[in-house]
Parts: sequence; structure tokens; C-alpha cells
Amino acid sequence: MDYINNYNGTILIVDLESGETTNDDLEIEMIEKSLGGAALNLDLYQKYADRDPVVLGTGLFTATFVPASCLGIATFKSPLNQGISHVPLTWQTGVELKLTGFDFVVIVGKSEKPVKVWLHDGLADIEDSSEVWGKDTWETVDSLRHTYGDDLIQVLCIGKAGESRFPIAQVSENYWGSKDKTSLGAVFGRKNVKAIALRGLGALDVAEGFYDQCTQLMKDITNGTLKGKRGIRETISSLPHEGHIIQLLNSITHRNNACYNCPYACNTFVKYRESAKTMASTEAAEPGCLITDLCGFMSFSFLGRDAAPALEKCFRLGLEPTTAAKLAEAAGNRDLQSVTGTLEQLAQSGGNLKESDLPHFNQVSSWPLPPSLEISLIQAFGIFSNAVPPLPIVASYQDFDVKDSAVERAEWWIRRQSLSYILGICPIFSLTSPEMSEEKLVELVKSSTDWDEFDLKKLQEVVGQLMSQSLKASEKVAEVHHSLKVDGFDGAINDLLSRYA
Amino acid sequence: MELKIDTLKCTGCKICEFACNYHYDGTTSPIGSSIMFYREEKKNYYGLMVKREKSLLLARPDETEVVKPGQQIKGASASSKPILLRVACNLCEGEETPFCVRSCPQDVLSVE
Repeated sequence: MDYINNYNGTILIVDLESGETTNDDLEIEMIEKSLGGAALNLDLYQKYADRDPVVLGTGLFTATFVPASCLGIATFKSPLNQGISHVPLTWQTGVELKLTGFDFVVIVGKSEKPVKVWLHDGLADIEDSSEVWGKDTWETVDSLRHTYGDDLIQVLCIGKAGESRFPIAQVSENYWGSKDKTSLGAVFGRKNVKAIALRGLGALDVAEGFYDQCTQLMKDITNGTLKGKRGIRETISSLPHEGHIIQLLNSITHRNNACYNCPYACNTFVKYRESAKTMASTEAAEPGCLITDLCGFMSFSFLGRDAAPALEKCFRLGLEPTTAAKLAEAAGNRDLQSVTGTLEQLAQSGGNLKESDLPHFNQVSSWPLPPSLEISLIQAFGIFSNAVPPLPIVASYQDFDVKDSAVERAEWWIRRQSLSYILGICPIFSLTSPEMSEEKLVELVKSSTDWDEFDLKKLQEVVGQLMSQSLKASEKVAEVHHSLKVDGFDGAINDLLSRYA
Repeated sequence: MELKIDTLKCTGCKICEFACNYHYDGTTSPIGSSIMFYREEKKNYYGLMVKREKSLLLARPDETEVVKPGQQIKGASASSKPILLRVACNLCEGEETPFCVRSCPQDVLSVE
């Protein structure tokens, strides 16, 4: 590889202790070793390991014409379970990050006072954030967009739970929560970072022929298993026995929303403060919320139609919704009013599943699904976000040519996730489309970088390295609540982990 | 011939902006496109704007409006200002199909 097409070539170091920022070059050798995304994040995490780093990174394909190339990735050590955690940043966050001019951002140390980090046009500012400290995530996003004068600024921020550094805290992407299930929100709080605001209007070079290759792949995908599919309902239909959740959505669904360049619009906006059929911009300033976290929404289904407003409350407070729902249900709450009271209490005082002896994998809340060995193995593996459904979506295992064994199925899921997190492709989308095969990804890497020697073996080597290094740097792996240990679990998890030893 | 937008099919993926810019300067970026996505995020109210030679096409979810020079734009914010500075859409002159039409995964855009 002689030059970099899909990256700007810049790593930003944000030193919260000194209040200074510096730029490093993203060297071609770094990409040749790890490609990008979570794998390169991990290299940077290890380089700065003694300074409690949080690494925000983009994949090789993030913000390109590759289908579903929306992904940014946050890598850090989870305060929940002391494991290395890679959190997928979807919506427009990853794209906006790359277009600020920074491919990777390493945040080290801790600020003495609350700050916000403002990244735009190749510039990085660490600014006082006392005006938004104490505010919820919705007020924070509104305030930052007003301050910087642009409604399209993307914001990563925390609410009260994060400010209090509770492990139940979640970082929020704009107003809508995130796929952070491992307390990135608490790490932001510990570092006194209230928010990171992003606005990117940069440009990336495109190799000759790459655009045509990507549009052809998009065509194959939209004419394949995804044909005519959109909305969170399709994801729910792929899960076992969840018909009643679809009924919950029927009367409140407004429009389905996609992240950057994604053919599968899996986020669904629901309205409950005005008719879901209202398409005009009315005086109802906050008519509903965007369901980005299916696991969280399903966990509140005991509230019936009030599941969505309960999810919104979690988003505002910066609480991880699935854990919050399980704690509220265990406390005997059965209506929105009592749940709201519990959520406010959790944001003030914290709470966790392990102390409450509730089902968990590595202290992360589990999917409310009937038990199965492969689903348990996937969730017990950790490392990647448990907000992503633990099985194929819309498609089947047969469509992906996966053998009929729990360990093989779990290994397939993990491999699809690692490819997504390295290359910058949505990890939910990657469970839908067999058309995006590993061979196809190799072709795209080669043509977008003019890297003739790149092959499937190299791709698999980077994937294996990400797994083994992440597990090695984690203090504990595969901690599972006794209620989730289905028959054959112990032998199967050892088999799975040994493949990445 | 002009660009038609079926706004309610749009899922807000924004690739049309990037594809348009690619036509102009061969890079991935939203900075120079003639088509712009806009969103009132908390209301989930979103659509597309197109800078045309002598007007602005506003494809809102509830109505499509053509705004002439000097006319007030309803609901405009600071984020909508840049569209006025963009070059007018030329339907990707020289191409069989405009890049935004080719790139849209939801068939929102067409030329009629």
C-alpha cells in the first residue's frame, strides 16, 4: 500500500490532565498491521494503557460508499466487568468523526473540571462544560447545537447517571441512547467529560472503480435477503416468540430511520404524544422517541404501550435501559409512574444486576429471549456490544452457510462482529446480508487501497488478533449468572474461547 | 427533466449528499453537494432540499414546495443556510443516471 484513501491520516491525542491536544500521523504500517476500527483502537489503547485511555476510532470503510459504513468504535476497559470493551457508535457518529479530520481520538487522563470536547474541521477544543453539567442528555444536545450554531452536530454525552459514575450509566448518541452496554458513560463521568461534539465537513479520496463496486454490492443486497425489509419489526420477527412486541409497535410507529448509507433502516421512531400518522412539524416539540435499542425496548414490554416512554426516560437520564428495566421489574414496578420513580433513583444512587442476583453475562444485561446454547455463548463471550441481536437478522444461518452447531454459530456471530468493528460496518446490518461475504470485503479492501497483496488470510489474521488481544487484556471473561448456564455451556464456552487462545 | 423525490420513502441515510459531492469532485464528503438532507431530530421530521438553477426544491414529509429567490423559507434554521451557497443540480450532466439516484437504497429519487 503506497497511500491511504479512506483515512485522513491523523490521530488526535486529547490529554485531559494538561488540557492540551496533539496530532500524530496515522502511518500506513499501522493500517497494514491492523486495518483500522476496533483492531487499531486496541493498538492505541495498549500504547496508552497506563493513562486510562478511551479510544474513539473509525473503520477502514467508515464514511465511504460501502453499504452500511456508518460505524465508529469506542474501545476502553469496562468499569462494569474490567474487560476490554468495543462499543459500536452508529447513527451518524462514526461518519461525523471521520469527517472532522480525525480518524482516531485517544482520550487520556482525567480533567479536574467538567469539560466538553469539540471536534470540527481538523480542530480540537477542550472547553469548560459547567453550563451543561447536571443537565440531562436531551438538554445537553440542545444546548451544544445552540452554542455551536448547527443542528447537524453529532453529540456523544452523558446524563446524571454518568456524571455520578455509576456502572449503570450509558453514553448517549444525540438523544437516543446508544449500544453502550458496558458503562462507557461511567468512564466519561470519571474523566469529567460531559460531551464530545462532532461536526465533519472533510473529504476522503475515492479509488478509481470503488464507487461502482459499492453501488453494485448495494444493488445485490437490496435485491437479496433484505428486499422490502425495514424497521425494528423485521428484527423482532427474526427473534423467537416475540409476536406481542410487534403488536405494541403497531399503533405508534411513525417512520423507520437508517444510519449512514444503510439499506436496512432498523431504527424506528414511535410517537405517543401525538398521532403516529402526523407527518407535519407540529407544536409537539418532543412527540416520541427513536427506538435504537431493541433489547432495552423489549425489556420494558411489561409496561405495554408505556415501554417507549420508559425507554425515553432512560435515554434522558443516560441509563442503560435493559438493566434499568430489569431492576425496575424486580422492584415490583408495573406502571410508568413507578418505573419513572425507580429510574430517577437509579440515576441518583446506582444499581446493578449482580448485587440484585439477576441474570447477567459479565454483569451485562441479557436479551429477554428463551434460553439456547448458542445465544448464551454469544452473550458470554463479551468484548462486543450486547445491544446487537445474538443471531442472524432477516436471514438464516443456512443463508450464511453456517454449520448446525452452537459453537460454530457463536463463532460465526463473533467473526461477523469483528469484521464490522474493524472495517466500520454496522454490526446489525452484517447479520442480515450474506451478499456481503468475506471474499467481497477482501475485494473492497484491495480496490479501495490499491493493496494488491491483501487477501482472506490477512483479513482472518487481523480478526484473530483482535479476539485474542482483547481477551488477553481483559481481567475476567465469560462470567455467567447461574440461571443462564444452559446444558453443555461450560464445555462449549471453553471450546469457543480456546479458538482465540 | 428534473429530479423527483418521494420523501416518505426516505430513511435519512444521507448517501445522496455524498454521491452528489462525488460527482463534483470525486471525493466522499457532504460539503459541495446540490442535495442536502435536513432534520428536526426530536420530531423525526426530515426530508431533502435540492438547489436548482432558479429555485430551491424542498421535499418535506408533508408537502413538496418550490421556493423562488426572495421567498421566505418556512421553518429555516442556521443548518439550512448552506444550501443557498451550493451549485445548482445539473442532473450529473454527462452521466446516464445521476449519482444520487444510483446510490439511494430506497428508490427515493428518480428523474422525470
